[in-house]
Amino acid sequence: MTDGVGLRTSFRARLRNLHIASHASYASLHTGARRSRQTGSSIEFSDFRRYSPGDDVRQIDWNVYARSDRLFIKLREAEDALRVHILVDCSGSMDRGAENKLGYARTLAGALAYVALNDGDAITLTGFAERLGNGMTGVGAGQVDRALDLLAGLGGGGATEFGVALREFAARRAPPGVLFLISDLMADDALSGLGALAEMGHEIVLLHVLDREEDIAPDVGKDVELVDCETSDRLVIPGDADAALIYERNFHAWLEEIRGACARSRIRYVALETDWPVEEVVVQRLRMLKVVE
Amino acid sequence: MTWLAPEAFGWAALAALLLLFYLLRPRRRRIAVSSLFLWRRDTRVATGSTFWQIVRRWLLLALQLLALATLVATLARPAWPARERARADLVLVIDASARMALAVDGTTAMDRIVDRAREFVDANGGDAAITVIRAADSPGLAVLRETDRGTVDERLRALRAGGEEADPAAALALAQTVLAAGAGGSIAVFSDTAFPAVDARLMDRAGLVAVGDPPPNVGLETVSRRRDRSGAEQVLATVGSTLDGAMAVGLVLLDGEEEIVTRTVQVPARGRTVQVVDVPVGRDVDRVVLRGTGLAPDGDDRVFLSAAADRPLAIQIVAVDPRVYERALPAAAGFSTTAVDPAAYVDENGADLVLFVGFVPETLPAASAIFIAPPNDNPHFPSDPTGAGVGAPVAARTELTAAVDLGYLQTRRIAALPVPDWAVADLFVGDRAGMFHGVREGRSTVVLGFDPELLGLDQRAAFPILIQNAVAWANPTVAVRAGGALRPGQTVEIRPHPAATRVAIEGSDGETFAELAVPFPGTLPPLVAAGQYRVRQYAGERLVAEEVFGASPAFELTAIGAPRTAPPALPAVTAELDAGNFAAWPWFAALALALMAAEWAWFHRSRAASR
Repeated sequence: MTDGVGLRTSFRARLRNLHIASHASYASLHTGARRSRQTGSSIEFSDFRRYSPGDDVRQIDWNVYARSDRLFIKLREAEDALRVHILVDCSGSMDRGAENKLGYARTLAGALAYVALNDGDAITLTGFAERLGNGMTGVGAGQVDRALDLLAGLGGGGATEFGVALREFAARRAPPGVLFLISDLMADDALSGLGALAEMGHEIVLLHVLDREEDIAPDVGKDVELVDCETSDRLVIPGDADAALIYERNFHAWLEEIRGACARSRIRYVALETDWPVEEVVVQRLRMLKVVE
Repeated sequence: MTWLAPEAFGWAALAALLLLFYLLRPRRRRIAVSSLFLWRRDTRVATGSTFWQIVRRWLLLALQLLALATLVATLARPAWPARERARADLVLVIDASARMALAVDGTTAMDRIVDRAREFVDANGGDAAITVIRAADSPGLAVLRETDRGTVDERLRALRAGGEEADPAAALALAQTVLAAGAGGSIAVFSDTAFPAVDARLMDRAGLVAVGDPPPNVGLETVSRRRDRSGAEQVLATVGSTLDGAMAVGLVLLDGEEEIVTRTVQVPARGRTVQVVDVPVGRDVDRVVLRGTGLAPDGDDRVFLSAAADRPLAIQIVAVDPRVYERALPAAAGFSTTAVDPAAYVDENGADLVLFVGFVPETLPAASAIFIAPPNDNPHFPSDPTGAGVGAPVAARTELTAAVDLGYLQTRRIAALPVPDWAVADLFVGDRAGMFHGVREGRSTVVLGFDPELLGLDQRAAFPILIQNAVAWANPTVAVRAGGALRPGQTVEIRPHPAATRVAIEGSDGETFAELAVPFPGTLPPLVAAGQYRVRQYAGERLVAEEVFGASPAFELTAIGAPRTAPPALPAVTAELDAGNFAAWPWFAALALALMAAEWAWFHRSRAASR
């Protein structure tokens, strides 16, 4: 049995054993299974501090008061839900490829959302192209179907405007957490967008989705006119130019730039090809890279 | 800038071929990709705007078209006119034909034309550069692009009429060349009202300034020489007149400057006369002139040379009922016919050819003549009644019988005429002739010894052909007979008589030159010596045809009014014009080479880059 994004039952069973790996602690509005830097109402003792007016009187440690005649508040570690943000690129360039990149991204995002929700994490799921689209926020396994329905409804089209979309995302003041950016990065401002995203305090994982025939080694021949599927701009490749060589050189230079930018911004970079099965990618590759555990 | 060879621009049509090759090239494929920004990172591909992409795509074609344009421009011989070329040109074409030397009231037509041209320059010249072209038998450049009016005036006054007919087309062509090489302008032609019509293209930007009418005159229309059967040389001259009254003039044959024969000739009013003058033995005629009071100077003796060719052949039919012959004569242009009853016939009526039917005048006409069914008792061509009915008529293959079937004619209705020594038989009746032709005292003469109406010939298609053959042969404007131009070394063509079994050719010394059995070749070997050759064709021992040829090593029958050759003056004058221009073609040639080199380099650079 599958759903709109291609999560088979057997795949779901394997996903239930995983959870999103986080290498930092975050404050959260939701109570969950994760430790937070915030003190809270859990039973895990953290520290004492002197009572000050306005503190919750229920947190006063009366035993200490009896011994020292002073009012102390028991500080406890809060057990909060992890914030998982999933941003899916839905631009026109994603809706291409021998194995459709957007379909691949939807499945991948669905798998990550499933892992997070089953693990009690709070997720924010949003698609974007020229602008940030409508998304959803939810906690708990009960939100899985809603998340998958949202992903299934994401359609490709429009130009990728990283700068605009990510500014809108920042304006929402989303609580820091793990942010999955699933995109082919086919945009002029992709690198600057990544830099802006890194300043928001998230633990970013860039899942770079590429199609071999479309992005890695396109065979366009010679003396052709290329048309940008997003902007309809045109570019003539003269008959005397070796298009394959030109593209290969540019493509690898671009990958190096992306890797370099990710390293500088502490973004975890994971390159994915669409002919790799999503199930293997999530269960094995992302697990090996400690994106999931 | 001007173009000295603008016809070379026709090569520009090759551009269509280049464009065709480009348009037929395979069209470029269009492929959609995720994004262009990765492609644009390459500077060779990302040339910027679509405009430059188009430029890149069409650069080779543009270079080739530019190279072709420059090459064509080079072939068109571009030139920058020298400093004075900025001036407009005024080209004066002065008719210097012989008639312009005729004096009326002590002033020649040339004097009046020059005066009018000087006035014209004063009134219309402005600061134009003046060119004066003397229109004679070949055009002459009296002055080229002269701005000094004094020099122009001096050169104009120095012009004299020539001794020949002018060639206006050649003069106007030269004038057009002058205009084309300069900064534009106009042409003024100074002549009388008889200036002939020329090609409209030559009259572009040209106007005629007609100064008076051509004066009436007497002149030689045609002059030719021939040798008669006795070997004596004769000069045939047609003297024509446009005067209102008859006039006596002197016809003078010159050997160098020596007058060897002078004959007084009575020229009818607005008519002509044909004169045959015997040349004294041992003398050579190199010029024929007219002398007379009030006539043109010596050089004017060719004034009328073109007149015979320009007017229709005038034929007079002297017959009781001329309708049959009027129908038989060509109705096309080139002939005009008049008819007169024999009783009303008088000579000197101005006809070129007279067709007598059943009538022979006591005095033969000065014009060529065709006699049809002459009466038996006429004084010139008496028939021999005893000859009638002797054998079947046999038609010889002559100019008159070409394409005419006379084989069905009945002998009893054909007069048997003795063949005069000046004639060639066309139709044999025994050893006499039923039809013959020849030149009698300088007149082309044809005699038909039968009445076509009586024989029913007028109802057959052969009749108009026979009459037209006779008229064509007897046309006096054809001054020279084909057989007269023989020279030793020249092949003689013999027309065999259908009844002939052998042919004997006798030289002027009386010895047999050649004797051939039929079927003999139609073309005999070249004659080896000058003189007269008599070709006799025999049927057994019976003479059935005889022709006489005259052959001379130095004697050539040539009409003086023969068609002139193309004027040779233009190349020299063109070279002079070229010298006045700064030739720009080397620069164009260098540019064409540079463009071709650029195109070659671009092509090979692209090829190398694609490897």
